[in-house]
Amino acid sequence: MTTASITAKNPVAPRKPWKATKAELIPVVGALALAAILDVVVVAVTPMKGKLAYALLFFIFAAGLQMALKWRNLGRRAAIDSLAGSVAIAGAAIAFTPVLSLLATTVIKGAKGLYPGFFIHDMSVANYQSPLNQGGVVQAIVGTLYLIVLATAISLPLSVLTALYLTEIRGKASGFIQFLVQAMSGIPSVVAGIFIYSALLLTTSLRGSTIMAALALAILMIPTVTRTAQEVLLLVPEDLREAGLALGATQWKTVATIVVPAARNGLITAVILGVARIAGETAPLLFTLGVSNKINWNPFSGGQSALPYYVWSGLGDGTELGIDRAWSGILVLLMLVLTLFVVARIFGTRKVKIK
Amino acid sequence: MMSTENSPQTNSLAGVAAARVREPGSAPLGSGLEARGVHAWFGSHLALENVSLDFAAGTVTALIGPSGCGKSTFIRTLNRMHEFIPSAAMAGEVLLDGKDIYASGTDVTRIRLQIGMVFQKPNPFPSMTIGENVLAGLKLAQIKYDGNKDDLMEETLVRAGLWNEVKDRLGAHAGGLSGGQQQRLCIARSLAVNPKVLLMDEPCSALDPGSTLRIEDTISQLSKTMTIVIVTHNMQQAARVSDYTAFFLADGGPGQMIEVGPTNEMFSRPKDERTENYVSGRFG
Repeated sequence: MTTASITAKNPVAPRKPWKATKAELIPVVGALALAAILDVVVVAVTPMKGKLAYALLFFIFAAGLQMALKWRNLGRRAAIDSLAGSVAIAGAAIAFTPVLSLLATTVIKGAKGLYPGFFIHDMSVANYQSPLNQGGVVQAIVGTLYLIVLATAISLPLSVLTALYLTEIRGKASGFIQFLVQAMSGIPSVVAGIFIYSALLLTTSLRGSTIMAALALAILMIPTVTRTAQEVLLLVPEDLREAGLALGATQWKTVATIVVPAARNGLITAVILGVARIAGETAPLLFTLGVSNKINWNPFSGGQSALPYYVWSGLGDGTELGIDRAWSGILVLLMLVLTLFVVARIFGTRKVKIK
Repeated sequence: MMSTENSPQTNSLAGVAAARVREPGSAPLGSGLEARGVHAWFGSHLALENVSLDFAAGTVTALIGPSGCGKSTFIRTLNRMHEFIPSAAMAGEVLLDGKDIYASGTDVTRIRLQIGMVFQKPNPFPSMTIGENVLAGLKLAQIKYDGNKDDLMEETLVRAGLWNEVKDRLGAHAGGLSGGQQQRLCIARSLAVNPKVLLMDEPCSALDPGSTLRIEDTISQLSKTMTIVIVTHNMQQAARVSDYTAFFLADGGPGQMIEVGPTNEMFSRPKDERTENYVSGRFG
């Protein structure tokens, strides 16, 4: 019989022998169950109490039992490997617990004030002490979207050009500009607001408006986007630049048609990080945004509202209804930012088909 | 696949070659490395179909064939590197000294310790010196070495044919070496943990003829003490270094092993017409 005829008579099914089989998983799950039982027993019979004791003891028991299991089957090296894996999982759990807790709290508390009208009405028909089925945040949603779009429109070209100067042109001023970008990323956000206020509003007849607040936010966004864009541009292999130049292209053509498209997904990440940096900022808005309880479609004059500002005002109001409104505002801001990120990923990611 | 039933492949597996090809489930040779009915998938794409091939202890086997025929995929199933690709799947058995390396409960890190690998692109560890690179395997695999480490370093560098060039700068960083020297350093690194089998995936494809010749000398020396499997696009190289040659081809479908035999026969009178065409340079 030949190799060919074996295949023809008995088609072979793909396997993944490196994945644990059900029989191998039973002791692992058993060890986890045992750890949970030990956990409950130890907490019951010793003076250790509370959620922290449960979590800590469960980790110790589970990691210890998995380690013992590995040691018995594969020896000391595998046991240490298992311990390192357990520590990594515990680290991720510790980092994610507050995040999940924060999200859950926001959803639970924020849902109270949500009703369909919250997305349609503005605050000209209600104040913070009105019942929760009156008024809404449509003016703040419009304001926040305006701010994000304008701040991105101002900072994205500046940031990408700065990053290109630092990675592609590598001019004489690179070191100094790098230093400035570094220093700018440490600016407290309130300082950005005060800067725009004192430089543009105090000395001229201009008044607080969307564009003024967007300028303040752009100051915060530029270092974040520049640094990230710089990192992703550095990841583009030098070979690609050389391949472009070797075809007789100018540096500008090479950068525009090869380097930047190659870094496209990373540049989108840079913008997302920049938007994340500014979307929730409140301090720079206080001096620059003006006030409005209605939708203001004109970004260049008149006060504006924004979701973080709405939240800040609600908390400042101090009443129970005001605080409920603030939670709902936080929830809407979270949903808005999440939606923007998903949209950016869907439309920004180019599908590269690899055979 | 049905159509291959009466293909010339049927004839090619006679004689000496038949002894090198065993069906899944048949009794193991007991020493060396044996692949039995190995298939490999990437997602739902079958990249390699039903390769059975024995690598007797102390032999050098060259895997030849055009790009995309599954040679590299096959060599990566031999030391369980294939599974690092998330969508990968496989079927069949790979026996090392008679035991299936894919058997449940196998310590995969021990398997890779016994089946070393040299990659296409030289990859010395950049943060380590030349000397540290040679001994990196002992440190990474947490092996307690009782003998003199300096002697081991010298011995492996001599075996890899690099000692004379680096003996005065063992403390220098490996990045300063030429491509050929880096590749020989990588061979020395694989040898220091004393593997039974050494897999080499186009080890000379990025090297100049001088460095290639040195690595071929090294392979000849090493074959006295270990089993070597080498993937190569260079047919002269296969003819120079190997005892056996296996020809792989993906004829529109999954990669398959077309023919295997002693190297001199494969190059002088191959049994399959496709092998003949390939080794005589008529295609590929």
